[in-house]
Amino acid sequence: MNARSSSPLVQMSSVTKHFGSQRVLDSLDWRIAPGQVVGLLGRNGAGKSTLLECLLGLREVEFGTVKLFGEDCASLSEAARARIGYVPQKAELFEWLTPNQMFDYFKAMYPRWNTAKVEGLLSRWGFDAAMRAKQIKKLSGGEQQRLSIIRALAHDPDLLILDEPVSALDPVGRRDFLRELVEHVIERGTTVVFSTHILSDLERVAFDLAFLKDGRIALQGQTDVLVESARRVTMPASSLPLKPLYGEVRRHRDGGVASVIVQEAGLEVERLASEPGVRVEPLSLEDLFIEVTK
Amino acid sequence: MSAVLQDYCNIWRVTTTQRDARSNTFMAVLAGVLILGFAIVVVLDVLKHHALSIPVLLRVLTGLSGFWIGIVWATLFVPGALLLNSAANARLLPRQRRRLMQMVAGGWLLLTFLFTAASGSWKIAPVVGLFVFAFAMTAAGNRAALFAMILCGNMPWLLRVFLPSASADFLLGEASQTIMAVLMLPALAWGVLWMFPAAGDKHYDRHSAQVTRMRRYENGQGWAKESENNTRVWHALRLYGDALRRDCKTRDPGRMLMHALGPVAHWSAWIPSVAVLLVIGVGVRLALAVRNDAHLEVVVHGASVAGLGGFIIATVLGTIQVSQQMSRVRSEQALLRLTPLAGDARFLNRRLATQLLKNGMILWALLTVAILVAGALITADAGALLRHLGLCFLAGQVAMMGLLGDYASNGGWRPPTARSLLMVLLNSFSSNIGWNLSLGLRAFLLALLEGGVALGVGILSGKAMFGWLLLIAMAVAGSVFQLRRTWRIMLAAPPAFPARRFD
Amino acid sequence: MTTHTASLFSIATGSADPIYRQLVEQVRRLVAAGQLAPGDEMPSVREIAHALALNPMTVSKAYGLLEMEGVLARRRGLGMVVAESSGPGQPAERAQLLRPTLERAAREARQLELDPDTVLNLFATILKEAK
Repeated sequence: MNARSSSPLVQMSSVTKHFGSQRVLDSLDWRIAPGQVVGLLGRNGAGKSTLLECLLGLREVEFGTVKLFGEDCASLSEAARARIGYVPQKAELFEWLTPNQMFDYFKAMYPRWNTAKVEGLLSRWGFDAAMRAKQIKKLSGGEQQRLSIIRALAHDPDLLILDEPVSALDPVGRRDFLRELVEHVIERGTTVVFSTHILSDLERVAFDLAFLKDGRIALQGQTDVLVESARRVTMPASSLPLKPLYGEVRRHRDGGVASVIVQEAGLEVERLASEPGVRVEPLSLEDLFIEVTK
Repeated sequence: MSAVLQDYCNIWRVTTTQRDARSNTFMAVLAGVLILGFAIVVVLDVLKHHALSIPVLLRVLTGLSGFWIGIVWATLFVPGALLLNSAANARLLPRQRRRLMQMVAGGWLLLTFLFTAASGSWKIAPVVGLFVFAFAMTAAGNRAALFAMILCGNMPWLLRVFLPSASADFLLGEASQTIMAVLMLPALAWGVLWMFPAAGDKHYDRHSAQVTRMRRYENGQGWAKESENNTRVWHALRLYGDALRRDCKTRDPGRMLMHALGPVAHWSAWIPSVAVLLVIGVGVRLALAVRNDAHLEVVVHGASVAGLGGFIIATVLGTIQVSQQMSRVRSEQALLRLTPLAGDARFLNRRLATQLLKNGMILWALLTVAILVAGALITADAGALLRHLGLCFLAGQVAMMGLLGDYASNGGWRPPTARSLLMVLLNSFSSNIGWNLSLGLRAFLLALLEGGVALGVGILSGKAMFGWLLLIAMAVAGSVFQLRRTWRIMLAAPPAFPARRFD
Repeated sequence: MTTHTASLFSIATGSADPIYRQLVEQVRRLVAAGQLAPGDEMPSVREIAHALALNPMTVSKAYGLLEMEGVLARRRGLGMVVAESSGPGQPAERAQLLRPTLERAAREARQLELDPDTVLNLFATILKEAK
């Protein structure tokens, strides 16, 4: 991989955005280093798409700064723009064009265009000559999404932003996409920001995770570390300490049983574990997601 | 309340509010306006010492109520009813489907009756019936019905042109009218069954096509042009593809940006209509040359104004379409904003404005030339040509008003959001872009004003030519003024792509 | 001196064990079972990442951990190979691999409030049956 510089590729500071009276992003801070592969997680409607759009400068923010490649995102230079790839959530774009026309159009828009890669991906992902001459609106949702992905990868970007890129793909399509991501995108040292609900995909390729909740990045860290250290401590409600435990994320009482989710098993948890009736269990990523974003 | 009536009430409520929660306001406002209009007529009548008799007033009232029912029925009820009749509903709720068909047929009968009563003559019943039905079908997204409507409207003079006068007289005479009136009912039955298919394969095909067409229609695509690139406009799509390829080679940023809007906003989309217009012109000219009937020429002459007038309105709607399209392709615009070629935010608005203006001018010039050529073919009267030219310029002015502006903030036509009529009027002075009610009002008033002045000059001077020339001059001046103002607004505004993000 | 391919590994997503740990465990077991002999070449990081659609850094992390433990060794030009010192190993070392499972069983036994003797007798019975 390329040698990494120390300055972050994406820098969001105190970003605030309202939709009417609703606060979607609340003084949000986020830094992404070059070469990082970050999964962005959050409930439906938490504002993941909005966050990514603000990141790219497609939406103006009321407060705060967003810098990409060290430049303010509202006035990116042409060189910076040529290094960004974006897969928006809506896959049915440029419906009136055929794939051939669409790729020709975007090829004219970018200085660097890897035609060989486009050809390779099109043929490997099931686009024969007949399909390439059909209007995009006549293709299925999965095929449209695959075209969106190919279009974003075609100019060898250094920053790839993916907003639910595989929602319409079947498991084979998703695996193909992940392989492509691993083989050609991550190997090149591309920075990837990946927003999806499919946690198994994130476990495979996302080395870092960020949870969006209440307009802020509530939890951030390496996937392995987060999953490994998180614990669920179940105990009788009577043994529940009043003070929050170290690293506690939330606690929950259900009749006579209480459960506490901790990010890290500190000394208190170890002490509790030896008491009778107390269970300490590790969490899967799905459980962690549910608990963190509740 | 009987169960049947309850059904009808429920369905009415669901269909009219399904499309837009503000439709109740719309219905009330429209009723209010009509009642106000009627009250004004009555007051004027009283002031003029009962110039109009009671039956005439009743007919006016009937006509107005028919108008209100017609608008509500065709634009709110019928499309809503179509949406309700999904495949699942048609299969699982056959009673609903029956009720929907009954209500559509009942509405049609009521409207035909009201309009015929308002006109005072039973002869026009079939034409009215057909017109109402075609109007509803168009609102429901049926393209063939639109053609039928236009054809119907122009039928009398077309028949006189193309057929020997004896046959034309027969077709327009009483016997055929009666036959047509009788044929109306089975046609209605067929139409209603077509609109509400029962479940099955044909349901999925037809219903989903209906729904897409309807959505496009209500998003402002309108009846002027449809973006559905099927075989009918296949040749235009070929032209668009060629234009796209050329622009990809030259890599002109402005042109590439405009391609985000698709073939709908491209002038090549109008080539088929222009071709049709020219063909009609040539056809009429040939027919007249063969027939050589002076009386006929007058009729044709008169009708051509109406026909071409429709075309001129289509020009305006075509430019409205560009505005609409801007707010519908926002994700595409987002992608483009990130590309190096199209991207720099500082130049985006300027490039876009230049290209919009160029495209608008080309389209306007194309249509004006087509209209003049067709007009010249149909009639050699210079006065008529001047009239066409004047109307084209006026339409051009109206069209140019909504072309440029702050697309990032708001754009596109939206139904009135006002809770009161007062708010509507107040809004009309504040917004600055997009074809909303206020802009439409302003454009209409300005056109009315200029038309009035030109008419005045024409009458005073005795020569209509002066009036028309003045109109052309005013339209040009008005366009230039509007364009300069909106150009400045657009250049000072935030980047236009993605549109309407400040909504 | 066999060269192994990435088909050696299989991972499961959605478990409480992160993927790198699953890889580490699998290598340990294979070495303990003798399927990976000392000196065997391990598949490269790229190969495993491509085959299983994993982030190469995860695989690197697993390999790094194994190298630190001494199970694998890095040879210039050959990539990762199974270390000489590792092998089926002493029974005591192999027994360590059973620790996580036994710890889980112990926790459950504590929850069921069973005394150690009952549990050990049960375990002995099961082992006899398994033979």
